[in-house]
Amino acid sequence: MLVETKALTRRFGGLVAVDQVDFQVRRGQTKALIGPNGAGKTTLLNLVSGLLPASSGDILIRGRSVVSCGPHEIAALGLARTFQNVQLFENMTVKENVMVGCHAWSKQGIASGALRWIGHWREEKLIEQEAERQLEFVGLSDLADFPAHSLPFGKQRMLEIARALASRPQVLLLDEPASGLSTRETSELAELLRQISVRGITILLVDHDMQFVMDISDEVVVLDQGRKIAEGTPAEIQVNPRVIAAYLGAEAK
Amino acid sequence: MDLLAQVPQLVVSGITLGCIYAIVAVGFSIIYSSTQVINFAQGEFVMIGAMVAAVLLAKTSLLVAFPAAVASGCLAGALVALFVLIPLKRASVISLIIITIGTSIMFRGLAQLFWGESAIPAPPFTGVAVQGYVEDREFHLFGAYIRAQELWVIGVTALLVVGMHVFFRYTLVGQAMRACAINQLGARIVGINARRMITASFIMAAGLGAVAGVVVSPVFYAKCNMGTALGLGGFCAAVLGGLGNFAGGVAAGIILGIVESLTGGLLWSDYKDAVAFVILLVILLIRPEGVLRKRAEA
Amino acid sequence: MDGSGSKRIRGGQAAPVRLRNAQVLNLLPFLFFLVCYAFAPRVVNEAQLTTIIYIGIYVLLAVGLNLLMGYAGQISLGHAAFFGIGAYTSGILTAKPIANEVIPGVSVGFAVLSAVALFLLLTRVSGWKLGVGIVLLVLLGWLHNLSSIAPAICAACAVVVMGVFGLVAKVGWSRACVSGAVLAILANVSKWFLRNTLERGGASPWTGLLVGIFLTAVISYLIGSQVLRLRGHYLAMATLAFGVIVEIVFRQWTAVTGGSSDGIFNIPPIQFFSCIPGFMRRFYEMAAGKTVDLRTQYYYLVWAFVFIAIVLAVNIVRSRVGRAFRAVHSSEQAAASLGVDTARYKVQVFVLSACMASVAGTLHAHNAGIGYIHPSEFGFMVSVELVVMVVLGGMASVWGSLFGAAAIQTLKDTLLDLEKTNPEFWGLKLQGLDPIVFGAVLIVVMIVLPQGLVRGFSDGLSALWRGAGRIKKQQGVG
Ligand SMILES: Nc1ncnc2c1ncn2[C@@H]1O[C@H](COP(=O)(O)OP(=O)(O)OP(=O)(O)O)[C@@H](O)[C@H]1O
Ligand SMILES: [Mg+2]
Repeated sequence: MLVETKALTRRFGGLVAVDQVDFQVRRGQTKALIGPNGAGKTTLLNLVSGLLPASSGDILIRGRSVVSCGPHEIAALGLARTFQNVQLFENMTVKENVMVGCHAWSKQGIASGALRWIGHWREEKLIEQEAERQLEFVGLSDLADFPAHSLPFGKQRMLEIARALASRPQVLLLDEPASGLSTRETSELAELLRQISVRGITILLVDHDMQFVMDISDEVVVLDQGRKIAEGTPAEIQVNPRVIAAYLGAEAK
Repeated sequence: MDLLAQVPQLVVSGITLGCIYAIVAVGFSIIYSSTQVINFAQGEFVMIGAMVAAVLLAKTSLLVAFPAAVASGCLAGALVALFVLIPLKRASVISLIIITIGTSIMFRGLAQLFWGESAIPAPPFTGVAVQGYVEDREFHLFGAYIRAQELWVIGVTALLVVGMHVFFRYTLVGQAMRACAINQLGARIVGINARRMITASFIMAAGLGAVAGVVVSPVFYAKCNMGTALGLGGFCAAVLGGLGNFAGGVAAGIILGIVESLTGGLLWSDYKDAVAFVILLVILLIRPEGVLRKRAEA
Repeated sequence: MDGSGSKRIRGGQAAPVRLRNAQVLNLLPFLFFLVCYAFAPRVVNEAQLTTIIYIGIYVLLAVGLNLLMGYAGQISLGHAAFFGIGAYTSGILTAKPIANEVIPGVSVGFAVLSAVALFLLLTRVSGWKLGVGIVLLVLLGWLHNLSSIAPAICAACAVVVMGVFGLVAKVGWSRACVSGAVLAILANVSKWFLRNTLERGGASPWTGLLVGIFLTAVISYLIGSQVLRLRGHYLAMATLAFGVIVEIVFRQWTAVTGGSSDGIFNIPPIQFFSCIPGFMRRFYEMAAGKTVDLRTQYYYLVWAFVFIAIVLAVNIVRSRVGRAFRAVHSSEQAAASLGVDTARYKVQVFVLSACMASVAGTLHAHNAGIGYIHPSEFGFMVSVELVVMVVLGGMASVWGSLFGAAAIQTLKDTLLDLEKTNPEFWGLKLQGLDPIVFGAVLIVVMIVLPQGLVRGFSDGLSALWRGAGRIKKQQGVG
């Protein structure tokens, strides 16, 4: 198991946003996490990536318990993510954004940077190459030197993915990568995710676009009001009565 | 035992100081809850009130000086809101801090320009004239001398606190301001003018500060740099009580005043000016979310 | 799609300049700087040179603060405190060595601070464990002041007690032991060092500089590691409180700092030329075109530091760690999710900028021909002035800080000159103008040119230029 949660729970005051959730992500698979608005999907991703402390329960990454780890330590274990509301480093260029992504595997410290030791040059070259490679991969090479905030929204999402990939993750968490994209962009994204998966990177993704989700994922977990209500292949999920009830219930409200 | 004998006196002066902290804390809370801004110029409103009152009290009666001082405080608040905060759209926290600091030092500089750097004494409100200058009445109580002016401070604070409570609970404008604090967008949808509410909250906070300044000017003397310490003490009280929580802020302010006066008087007389700052630092490090407020999360 | 994309893109042509050209271009400002540095004494007079020295000191401060505020996005309203710590440490060691009766207290205090910092650095504890650790270290330090106990016993006590605490609190016994040992060692070493300094009647300014940097690093680490967990307003208030507390200590700790009535005077200047090899001295003499007096030497020294600081700052900003700083500024969450240890980098940049301020402080204390420091030079208003310099020059712009510091320092001098002439304006005696002017500068710059004057001007110019180009094109078409 690459990522595993055990009875993971998170409360906000009286609200239980994630309630006793057990789920696993196997190496190499593309897993989707769906559920109506407010189901607790983002909260779950935040817990797994260490941005929020859990109220109780356990999280294992590659068999190691990480509940007491900070987000940077979890990132060092090979987990990268994107955000529902795109969080780029707006004061930096597109390329620099991706270069920050290389932070997890690069090492040079402040003294090396300040004094330009040999290690700095060597590593900087590697970082730059990696950044260029990822930009090329998502098709943003020609915009590398523009400020990140000047990109149109769809490209900002791509940039965020490139940035996450630059950290050479084993598992990539994507929080609603398709929201706000046009149909064409969504299908491009699906293609991109397939390629990422082919590279051997495990994907855990959250989205509301059912067709997109069912298209690319091997397995789907459904969350409702913080609880896991179903898990299975896309085909199974589509006919699961509890899932349909949850979505219909959400719509009826 | 000589030290212990000072305790009642120190408590009295602590309560006086604490009342000012309490009022400033309420001012912080009012502005914070309607705009999410911490106004670094809050202490300067107290200074403006105190300076105007001290200058005018030397020439005219309290009946003129009091409203004039409060009005100038309110004017300062309105100016800050209209010319500084409202033109600033989508500002980051760092720029809000810088801007309110800018206004704060500007007010201080202007006060220095107009009224000089030295402290200005003000006659107490209800004193007896003795040979050309006014001496305050004193009462003896539990081993402490209480000046009439200190009773004024305490009384006015109590009045203001009750007034604020009534205002926010029972008047339409007060409720609108609370609504604005809870959800600006929602407030705008039901027809509350957020901009006007911001201005109103600044005027109110500044007016409160100025009242505090007027009543303390006979106790502390008015000085152009008195704002920083009072502002920080007030901020400390507001944080202690939980930002946006008026009752907590008031209680914390009075406690803080007493603690400061006692530690300053009994333990570290050399460093008594630093006491409030040390307390602030410790509070921020231990419980930034406030001590007197229940923890939101278990 | 692409069309709509490039329409939103600003900043003109981003034609991929070939790397070599870009690097040469980057070196140009430094070359220009060096030329100005070498030949400035030829063209300026004595008074201007003094001003330029002060400007240099403030540039050091502003560049450091800009790393913290402009790049890493963490505000500090107490930066003058570090400036003061550098100045006072060096001033005290060189001109007014600590008196015999205060030496034990001071050295133990210093040892306790360092030991606590080390304890924190090694174990990264927080909460009650930190509290207990501090209390223990303070008590153990106090033990060293009891003359009835032999130092060796004290040391053994410190190591054993800390080791046991480390075991009990599960923070690593060896690390706790090390901090206990360092406490004992430092307490004795600094006692010996201070006695020695007192006997010789003062240390050399270079020692002062190093001790100042060390002390500043310790204090800024202690404060930074705690305070930087706070954000926004809370951080601002906490740093402000710290700054004011330090200023009050300068004022009130008369036995050591001379208090607010005297300050410290007769601080010896740094003899720059006696510390550098002959060929450099000759080079400087050639550049200055005259025999170099003490003031000019000091000018060369201060601006050499400025040059180093700017080079280091520019290098850091364009490195892995610098990118991490900027990432923390923009989105702490995103940075952390990419493996940036945000807490650690915030503390790092805080300590770095504090140390730069400390160097500036030492240079300020030893200023040739002045050699006098007073608590009021390190108060809240100075911290605000530093913020004004950074904001005016432009946050996240190293060269901008140079400009900001120069502009504000010149402005301050002008205002002071104005006040000296005792002008009257509508019957008002003009006094205390700088808070008004600085306040106005802060407000106006923040509202009108939030990216600072330098960037603002260049943006404005390039907009104008492009506008002119467009008009020309339209005319050509029409
Ligand atoms: N920081 C927070 N403080 C308090 N409540 C929160 C916080 N974050 C999330 N919640 C609440 O937790 C619940 C789950 O939120 P979450 O964002 O995880 O939902 P989601 O499944 O991602 O929804 P969406 O599809 O809209 O993104 C919601 O009711 C939300 O209001
Ligand atoms: Mg979500």
